[in-house]
Amino acid sequence: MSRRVPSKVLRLFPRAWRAAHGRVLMDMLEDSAAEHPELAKREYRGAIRAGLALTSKRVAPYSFALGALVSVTVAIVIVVTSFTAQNAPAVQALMFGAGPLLSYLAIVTTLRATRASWPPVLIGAIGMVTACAAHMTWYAELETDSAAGTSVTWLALVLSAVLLIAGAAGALIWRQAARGIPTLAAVSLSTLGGAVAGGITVPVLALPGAALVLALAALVIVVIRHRIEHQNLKQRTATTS
Amino acid sequence: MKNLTPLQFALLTSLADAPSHGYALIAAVEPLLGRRPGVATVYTALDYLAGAGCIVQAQDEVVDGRLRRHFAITAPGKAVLAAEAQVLARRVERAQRALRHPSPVAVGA
Repeated sequence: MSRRVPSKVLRLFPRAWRAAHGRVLMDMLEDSAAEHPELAKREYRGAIRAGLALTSKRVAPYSFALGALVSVTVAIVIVVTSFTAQNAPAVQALMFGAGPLLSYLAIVTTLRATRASWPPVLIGAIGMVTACAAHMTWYAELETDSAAGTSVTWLALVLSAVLLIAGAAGALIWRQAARGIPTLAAVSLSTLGGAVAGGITVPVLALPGAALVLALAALVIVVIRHRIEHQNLKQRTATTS
Repeated sequence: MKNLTPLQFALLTSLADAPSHGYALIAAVEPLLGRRPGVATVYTALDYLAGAGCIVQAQDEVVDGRLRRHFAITAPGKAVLAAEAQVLARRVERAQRALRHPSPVAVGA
């Protein structure tokens, strides 16, 4: 005996997915309900969960990116409107504390959206936060007149940041280069590229607002890459139907 | 592509045998998995494998008023399946070797 599958089980699937596969999935559910009526409820619940998972996966990067964008905007407004000598410590904390943390959030969000390789970019993000911690230490030590901010802690933080960022950039370059060029050339290119990236990024992060600009750049990448993925899905959908 | 899940492995194994449609694949993977997977789980796994280029959607046909979408494995899909099968075979071999030469310290004997 055939059973009608309630159409609400498809409600939580993304619209494009539903357009491409909704009918087939509904018919498969009907086949299952006819053959195994005792499993029907379990199947419906499973379909609702699968739809929810697909939708969350698609929407999450946008919500994270929006949240990070709002936070970055608020941070920029605070920095621009409250930069006085009296407020300097708070503004520095925002520039070198909140900024890098938001960059970190934006980069992690980018990863989720683009399914890029986690380890190198995560290491790079930690490197950025370490670099900003080094700059904050420098400011803090200037305030207390201790050796003009060039303490062992500061040096260790700067070196760690350079190494982390260089390692991350080298690994990312290696991933691309190793596929197309001989191993020796790929190793040289990755080492050189990593060293340049580490050597440039750490001093650049000392500029006020640099971390915020990087965060904004990461957010733009999120949106563009996610858009490309969405377009690909639409193309697949068009081909299917 | 990341490591295959047991369901993806079972689906590719079934499709390596012969192209098939979604609902028939549920019955085909049941003995391989030792349980009956959910319809939506199977279909989303098929969609993922199609997105990764391991399988392609072949023709659709209507049987008893119900639309059936057929899938077939691709050459990259066969390569992914072969690589995963090798990994599993190595694991099995290692486990069997360990069982043939058990530790001299017997626990719970």
